[in-house]
Amino acid sequence: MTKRGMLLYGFLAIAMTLPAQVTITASAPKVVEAGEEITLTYTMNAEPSEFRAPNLSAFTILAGPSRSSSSSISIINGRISQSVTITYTYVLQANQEGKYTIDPARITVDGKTYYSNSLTIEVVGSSHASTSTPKPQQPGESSSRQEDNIPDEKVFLKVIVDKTSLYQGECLTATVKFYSQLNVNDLGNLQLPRFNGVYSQEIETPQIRLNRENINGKIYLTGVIKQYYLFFQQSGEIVIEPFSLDAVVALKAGTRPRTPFDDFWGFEPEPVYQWVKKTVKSKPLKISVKPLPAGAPASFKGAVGNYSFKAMLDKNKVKTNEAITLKAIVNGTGNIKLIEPVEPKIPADFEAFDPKTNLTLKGITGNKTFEYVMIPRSAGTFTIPSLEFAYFDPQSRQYKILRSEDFTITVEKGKDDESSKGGVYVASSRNDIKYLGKDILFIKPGPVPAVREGQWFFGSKSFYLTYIFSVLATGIFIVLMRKQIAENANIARQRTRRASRQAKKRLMMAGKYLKQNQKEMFYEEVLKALWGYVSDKFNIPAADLSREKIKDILQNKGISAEDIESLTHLLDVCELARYAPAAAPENLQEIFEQAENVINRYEAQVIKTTS
Amino acid sequence: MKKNQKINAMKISSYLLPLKKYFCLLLSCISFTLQSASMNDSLWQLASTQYKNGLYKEAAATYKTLIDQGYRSAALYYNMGNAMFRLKEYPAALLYYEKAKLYAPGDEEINYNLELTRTLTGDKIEGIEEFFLIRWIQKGIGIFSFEQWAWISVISFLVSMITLTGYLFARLRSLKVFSFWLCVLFFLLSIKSFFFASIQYHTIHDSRTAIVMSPVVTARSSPAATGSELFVIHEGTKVTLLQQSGEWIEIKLMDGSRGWIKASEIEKI
Repeated sequence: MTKRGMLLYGFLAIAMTLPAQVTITASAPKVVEAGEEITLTYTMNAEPSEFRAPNLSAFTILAGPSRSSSSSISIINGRISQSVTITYTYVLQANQEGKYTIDPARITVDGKTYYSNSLTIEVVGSSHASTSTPKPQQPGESSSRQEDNIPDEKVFLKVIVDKTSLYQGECLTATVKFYSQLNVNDLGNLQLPRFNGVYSQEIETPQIRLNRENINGKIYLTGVIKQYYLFFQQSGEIVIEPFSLDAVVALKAGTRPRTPFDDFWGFEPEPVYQWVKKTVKSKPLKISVKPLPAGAPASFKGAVGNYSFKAMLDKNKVKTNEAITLKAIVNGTGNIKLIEPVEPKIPADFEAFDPKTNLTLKGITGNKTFEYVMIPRSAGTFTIPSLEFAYFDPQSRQYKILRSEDFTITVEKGKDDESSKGGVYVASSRNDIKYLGKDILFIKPGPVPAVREGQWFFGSKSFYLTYIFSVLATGIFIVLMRKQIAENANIARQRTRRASRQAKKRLMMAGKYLKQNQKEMFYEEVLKALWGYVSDKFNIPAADLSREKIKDILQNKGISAEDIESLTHLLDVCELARYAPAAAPENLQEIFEQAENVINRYEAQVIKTTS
Repeated sequence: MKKNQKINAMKISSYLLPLKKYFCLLLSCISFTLQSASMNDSLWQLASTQYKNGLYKEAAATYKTLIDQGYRSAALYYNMGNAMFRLKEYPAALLYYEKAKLYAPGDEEINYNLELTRTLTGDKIEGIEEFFLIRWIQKGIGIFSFEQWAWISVISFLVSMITLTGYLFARLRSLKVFSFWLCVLFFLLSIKSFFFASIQYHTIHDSRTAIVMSPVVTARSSPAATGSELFVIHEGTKVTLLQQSGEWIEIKLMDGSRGWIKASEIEKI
């Protein structure tokens, strides 16, 4: 067997041998009629080695003791528990009216002696001779027909209250009780009145059980139907409207006709019963509700009863953003269910949440806990002034104020919450979580701070001097170079003016070469004259001198297309002659004249356009 | 002709004598700053090493020495802010970041850390949106610090002067036109930069903003402890200063609400 199994077995054995606690209970009806059978039972939860009944000589023992036993085994969560119920039953009969006391019975279990409770049985005079239980006809045959025949004092419903005059908010216990002198078969269809302006709390009652009760020497079957705690929210005369209940009772319909048997045996004629349904109604009940006296303290919020109050703080030294819980506990009896939360003065800088209410209640006694969770958002020392709870004590007819102590909270700057995350900062809940897991950027390596306060370039002497000197330098420069500027302005004009002179000089040279018949030199000189003229005249840099460019520029200058054509033609001829002397035209004189002609025509056109 | 030019050159050099003096002054100024730079360079390096090694307290102290010596720069304030952040002194970090921002308004690193620190401290106050034109101008000014603007102004002024002479001496017409417009452009740029520098300079030196340093501050309706409570602000909140009365100072929040608080509870940026 495994260790575990042994353990289990051990538990089993213990559970079997250990009944919880030995109890023995005696039960019997409280009130009986003389001559009626009384069932007396002793119930115990263990097997007794000895059972000794008390002295029952005042009664006639009709039967018993008869023993019956039942046992049950239940397994809950693997735990086995066994319960045994053993019942000893006596059937007794009391012949004389009066009160009888049955002493406790005694049992012995495992060498120990236990006693039952003692009982008192009241025996009243019989209302009718027969003690046998009625055997009515089946209900429904002629049920509600004779409802009116049942007098109200035989079957009725009653509302019993513990007081008829009370303060607003005070607790009233109301018991709805059913009374019947007749046998009852069924109760049902309970109709509750509307409680206007009354807070009602039902008291858990076990299943309706009818007991016997002696009222003015008559046996009634009574049963508590419902029980309520009522808290009146308004003052004045308040009427509790009737409750109503349908009861099916056995009504004596008469006697069976006598039979010869009866005569022969000398029997009493057997009465005939009928099941009759009767609707019983309680009487309206007037309750006078007194208003609460004047002079209620400011913190009074309608609590009536008898209370104790305390408040506590789970810690008074926290870091920022850590939650603190303030607990206020109201303990006592009264309209505790209706108590509103106490309002502590939480510092404005704390984030406070709605209080959490917890109620444990047994009847009208219990405690109510209010939990205030708050989160300090910044460091400092804060005080929560003492909490106040006020209630009205109906017994002493006074308002009472209970106070807690003051709470002082020291809030330090939060530290651990952030560093524990390895230097990663999580934004607090107050802000949108934007920077989850983000950190600041690293420091700048430079530049090294070099300028001190007051050493700024802006606004310094050198700053303004830079302006002044640059203006001065420019001014001086301009003054010094004014001639050059003036000349520069004239250079372009001079060039154009010089252009024709220069060209004519070159053409004269060409003429010299022509006479000497030096062909190559002639063409070169003509080309130079033409190119140089165009360059100077129209202010075109030497680098830009190309056939295409010249054409564009000349067109822009307003030279006729015809003249441009003659110039380019002349240039073509000269260049061809220069690089391929064999193909050169022989008529040099004609080319010389053409060149002179072109320059003259251009000169004339330029003067025309510029003037 | 060549002789003429020589004489001209001699004349120029004689005229330039005061200019020479000025350049000497400028050079000495630069050399002085270079010299002092070598003096505080060691401190700066020390602080960086301390910060890298996690000695934030020591690094902060070293940066503070530099600040106390009168050094001012965006990098210095930024690093000081970082050290304060590491020490969890968020309001102080905010203060130094704000200062750094004044010296380099367009710096992305400064703005990033500033925004991050703002999420950890201070109150959330909805600011009033300014007119878009003002916002644009402020953004434009914020591109450079006032020192940078000053240099831009001076340099562009010089360029405008050079282009002016270029205009005068240009032989080609197109070159003349080009240099003329360039001259005008640089001249305007110089004037604009000067004004921007001036605006920046005054925002730093006549600062009207402050950071709340006390954990919780209650603003009152009048400069007395008896004044009725108006609102509660927390450390790290940026406020605008309006006027002072004794030890009380009137502040304005970003959303426009005003109140009086004690001057000791805030620190000017």
